[in-house]
Amino acid sequence: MAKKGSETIIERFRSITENPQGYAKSLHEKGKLVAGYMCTHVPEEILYAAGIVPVRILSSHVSQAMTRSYIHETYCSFSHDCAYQGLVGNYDFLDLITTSSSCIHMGEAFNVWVRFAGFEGKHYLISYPHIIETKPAASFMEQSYEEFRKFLEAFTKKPITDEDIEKAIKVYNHTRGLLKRLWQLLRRENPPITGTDAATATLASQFMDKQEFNKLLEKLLKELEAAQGKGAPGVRLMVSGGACDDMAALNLIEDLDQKVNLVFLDSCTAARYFWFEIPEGRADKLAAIAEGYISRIPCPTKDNVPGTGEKKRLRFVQQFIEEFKPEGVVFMYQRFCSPQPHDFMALKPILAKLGVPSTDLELDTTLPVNQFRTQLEAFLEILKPVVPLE
Amino acid sequence: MNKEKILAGIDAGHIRTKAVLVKGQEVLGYASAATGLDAAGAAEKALNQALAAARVPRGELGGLVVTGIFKDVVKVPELAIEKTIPEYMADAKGALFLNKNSRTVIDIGGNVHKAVHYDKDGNLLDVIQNDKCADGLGIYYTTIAKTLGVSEEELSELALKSKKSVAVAIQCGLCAESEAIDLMCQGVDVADAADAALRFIVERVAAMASTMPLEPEVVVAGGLAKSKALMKHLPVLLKHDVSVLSLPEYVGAIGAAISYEGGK
Repeated sequence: MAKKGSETIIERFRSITENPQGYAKSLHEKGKLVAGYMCTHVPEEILYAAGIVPVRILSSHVSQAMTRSYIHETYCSFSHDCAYQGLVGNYDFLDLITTSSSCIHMGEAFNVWVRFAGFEGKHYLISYPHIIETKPAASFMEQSYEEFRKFLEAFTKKPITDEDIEKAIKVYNHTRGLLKRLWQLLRRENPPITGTDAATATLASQFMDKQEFNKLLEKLLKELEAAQGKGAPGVRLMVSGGACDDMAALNLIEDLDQKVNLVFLDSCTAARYFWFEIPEGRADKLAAIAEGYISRIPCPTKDNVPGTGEKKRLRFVQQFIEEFKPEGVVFMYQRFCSPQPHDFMALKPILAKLGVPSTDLELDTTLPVNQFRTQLEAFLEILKPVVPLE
Repeated sequence: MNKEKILAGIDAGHIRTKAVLVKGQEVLGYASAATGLDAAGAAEKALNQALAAARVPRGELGGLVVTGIFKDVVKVPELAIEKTIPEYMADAKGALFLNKNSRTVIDIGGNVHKAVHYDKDGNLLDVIQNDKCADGLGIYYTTIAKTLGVSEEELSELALKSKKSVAVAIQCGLCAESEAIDLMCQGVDVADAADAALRFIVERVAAMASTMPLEPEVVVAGGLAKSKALMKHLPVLLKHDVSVLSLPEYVGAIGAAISYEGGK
């Protein structure tokens, strides 16, 4: 039986998430400049305006110990995995590697690429304010982006015009808008797409040339927005965490004995990546980009309002819970990540107030399937007890 | 080295205490005993067994040197130990004694693994030891054998039958063991689970050893060097040829014995 268009597109996204370096290499072989980026604080729009395709470096899920000699043992396995991919040459063909000063674990992974994986002279670290909820943060970011722009102009030996940046902003805003529409489908009682597939598409967007991605996602949305959900609705769960790029973990959530609908993914590999917009048509393009990035759902490494200690992200999480109506939240974070679990401690009272229970899963390079399954099934039993067998 | 005297060396390790008797270039006898809670008693037992194996009366011993983590604990009057030497030095001397072309020895012991680089005379040039999270690989090996319901020898044979590569977390032995069990709960073939559990050991050893120049020949010592399954993975992960020394678990004890009177 011929596959539906939506299935073919989702399969295309899946194949790219399973072999991102293969996809990136194919761009390189077509003569495109390709840059790896290690954090979503990198303003991809400026790279794109320079004619460079940004490709995110994420986990390869290979269990290995070689990076223990390069970065600290108690840095998260995600940063180890990203460092590993540089060391084994998965991305040797990249023209450039970039990151922003965000979390120190990923900073070390970046340093490994630069110092030990042959990217010395082909790298750029974007200065990014530690706390973004301050007045000087925007001007600091503008200045930092201006330096990045100059670096890229020298790197590509061609100017980056305001028109180039405006076009890039529009392409990226379009991607973000499409991804929002995709996730809005999960608000339905019986969504026409699984949360894992929506997460896969979102992940693919971080590897792909945005114009190519946008065309595919437009087609997919056209079909899905007219489609009905399959089967009976399941227990609605939301995942909140750090770099949740292990689709097997999300798949596990939607493959338990009780039917589950993963309805929202609050992570830097999903909502935090796209749930914002950059103002279009502004005279000062870099100021517009800074404004857009400041308005994002903050990463826990940057989220602290000076004076009050308030975490802006909590407001977003509350908003998502109200809109997507999850019955439970699964906190999913990388082992040894400090900011993320600290956030959960602050989030738990808010969830309690909203009457939404939560459970924690600690991610590593490998996935302890049965341990997670046991914990998740117990969590579901708390949410919706299964009628005992006679 | 004194070629006339029969010299004894004891390596009082975390798990086992090893004793050897050496005369000139010949190893006359060797034996080991579980260290347990009585390291001095284990040293006495291993030495007596080595003497018996070599048919050498205690009175004919020309010197006794001890190394190993318990070296200061076993230095009791009854044993008449004349000298102690650090484990790294014992490893270098012992490895060079067993293979004169060797310049790097990787010692995978019960609790500690280390790599030692030395010159043609056995002088230390560089040393490295595992970090805390990688402690206890030998103990882990025994635990995995028990977990999978096989002997330590059978564990290696089992892992060698693996046909499909699967993986466990490599943070520490506890995580690795837990995930080996999880693999079995998923219905993964026990040989594949055994291979994944053992590859964890080699990952940790290779990660440590690759931080220093591996000058050839690279040889392997320690009890775990006897596991063919481990030695299958080690050259691959190290990207370097290695050979296993004869009597790998006695390398430290041999190094201790031949260090008597400074090895003169």
